Amino acid sequence: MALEQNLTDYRMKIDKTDIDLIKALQMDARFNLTEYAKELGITKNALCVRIKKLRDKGIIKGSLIQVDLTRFGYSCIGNLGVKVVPSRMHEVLEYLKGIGGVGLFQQTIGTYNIFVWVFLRNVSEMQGVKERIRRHPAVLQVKASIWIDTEKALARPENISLEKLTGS
Amino acid sequence: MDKLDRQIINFLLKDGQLPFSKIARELGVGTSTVIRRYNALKSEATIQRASITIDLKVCGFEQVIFFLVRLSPNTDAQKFFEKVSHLRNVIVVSHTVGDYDFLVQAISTDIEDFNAIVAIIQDLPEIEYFDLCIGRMIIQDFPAHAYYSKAFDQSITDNEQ
Repeated sequence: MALEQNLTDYRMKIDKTDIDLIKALQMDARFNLTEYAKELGITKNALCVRIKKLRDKGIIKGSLIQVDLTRFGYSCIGNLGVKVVPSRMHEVLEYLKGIGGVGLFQQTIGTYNIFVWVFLRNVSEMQGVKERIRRHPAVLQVKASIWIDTEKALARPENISLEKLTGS
Repeated sequence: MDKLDRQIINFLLKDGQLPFSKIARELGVGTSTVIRRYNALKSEATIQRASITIDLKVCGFEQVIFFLVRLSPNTDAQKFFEKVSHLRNVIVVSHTVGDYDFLVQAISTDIEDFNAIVAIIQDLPEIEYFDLCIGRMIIQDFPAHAYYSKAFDQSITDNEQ
């Protein structure tokens, strides 16, 4: 498996300070490196070397800001679970690409075999999207959920467990 | 939010660590203007935070799991939200309306990891039932650029019309 292969290469191993650094950057990628270095009792340069190492290993890929999408005129974010006839999966995936409001989606196993993210201007558009998808002959079922309180639904990097990367 | 705010956001969506002075130069405004706008956007929570993106696959995560949850009647949704928000490897929790009450998105490295998270969710007394979708780790960077940029680009197009 990918992780075990990575760990046998000793250069992939990182330590607890690296993990703490990743966590700090995930919470605020723009924090003051000099102050943080002082807190850790290392030099700013040592910190930059660690960051570069994490980038070289491909663990850190880049950065972005997380925004509340509902402020950009997309007041309705939701998810759809879609059940399709398995032999016509490809056809339905192509069909979804052409539906306005449909954002990201992927094939899944479980209760539904396609999981969809929708970004709509308002809640009333959801029914329309659901209907359009349901209309496809290979679609067996569509269930929808609309997000309430998108501010609190922020993606949570703090819960991601990176301990395995230390090789322990 | 005006055009300048959107332009600043557009830069930062691609690189959340871009120096304010560089953004200012590109947009032909003063650095202090950019800083002021950024702080304002943050305080009103339009910008939630600047974050690094990590590669979940490189970190060993192979599956993404979507739990679509129905709560038992008379459950305190807020309490449930608090509880689930701190679970290991749970990356998104959202209170919803519609066919389900909550979306819980988690990630796992292998079968053992997957079984562990499902066992925890299954044992929660607040849950009446849940449906489950498991997918491969297709979108590897977290937080995902694709999630924000697709919706944001759409909104830029709409606003220009």
